[in-house]
Amino acid sequence: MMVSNMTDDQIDPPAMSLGKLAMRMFGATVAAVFFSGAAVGLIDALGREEQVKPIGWVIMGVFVALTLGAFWFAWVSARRYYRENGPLSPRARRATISAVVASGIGLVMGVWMSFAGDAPDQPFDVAAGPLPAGVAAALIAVIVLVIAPVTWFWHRNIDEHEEQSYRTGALIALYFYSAAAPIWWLGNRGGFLPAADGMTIYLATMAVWGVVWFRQRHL
Amino acid sequence: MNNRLRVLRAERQWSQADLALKLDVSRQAVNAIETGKHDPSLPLAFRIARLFQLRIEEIFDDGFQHD
Repeated sequence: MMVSNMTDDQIDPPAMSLGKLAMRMFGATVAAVFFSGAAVGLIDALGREEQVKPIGWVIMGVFVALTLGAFWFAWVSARRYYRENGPLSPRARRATISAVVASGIGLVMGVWMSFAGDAPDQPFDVAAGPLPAGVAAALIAVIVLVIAPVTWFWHRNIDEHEEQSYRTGALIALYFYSAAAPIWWLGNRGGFLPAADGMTIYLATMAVWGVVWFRQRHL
Repeated sequence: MNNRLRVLRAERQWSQADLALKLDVSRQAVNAIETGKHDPSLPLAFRIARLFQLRIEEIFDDGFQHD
């Protein structure tokens, strides 16, 4: 039997973990939202000035550059993750691309919702705040016509380990929902809990699903 | 279930990504099988056995002892 004299690191060079990529993406997203928000606020303020001082444009340029820098950091991180964890098999590539597309659309929908809220004087509640009917209908159409087919495509291309992780997460999330919903409902009927909030239960169920999936798949 | 996947892979100097590419699964799936966190389905076990030109029981060990 041929025995390799390569070390573990030579055979499997250390690669960026998905958790590290997720942290980098989260940081880049927060930075992009913060700096772009600051830039938009400054543009709005500068628009009201009769004569804008050069320093105002310099600060705005810095905020725009920082926003672009956050996007660049996200792009470089994603490229590094792909390079260190690849090459991907055709099936894994299709599954990854469809997951990235669905996540990107979800992110755009979230940003769209936060900008389209109907109550400009109040901090917008992304989960339950009012939306213009047209925006709500468009978001529903995106879910039905885009997210659903992309999700179906993703399911057709994941491998069996991903599928098992996803199913385990779904099962535990269902048990969580089956317990949390009646407990909250009974607590409300008993007078010691507020009325059950469907959106909160939904988001908590999705969170449980995601955490279990992540643990099964990546830890 | 114990298996010799990591050893067989190392003998051929394949990374997890290389093996994943040959089996058309993700690297995470290969890692999960190697570490015993995921038992492959029968079709995937056959694909692995064919790739290494071994029988399934020469790669995977369920701990059963014959009398």
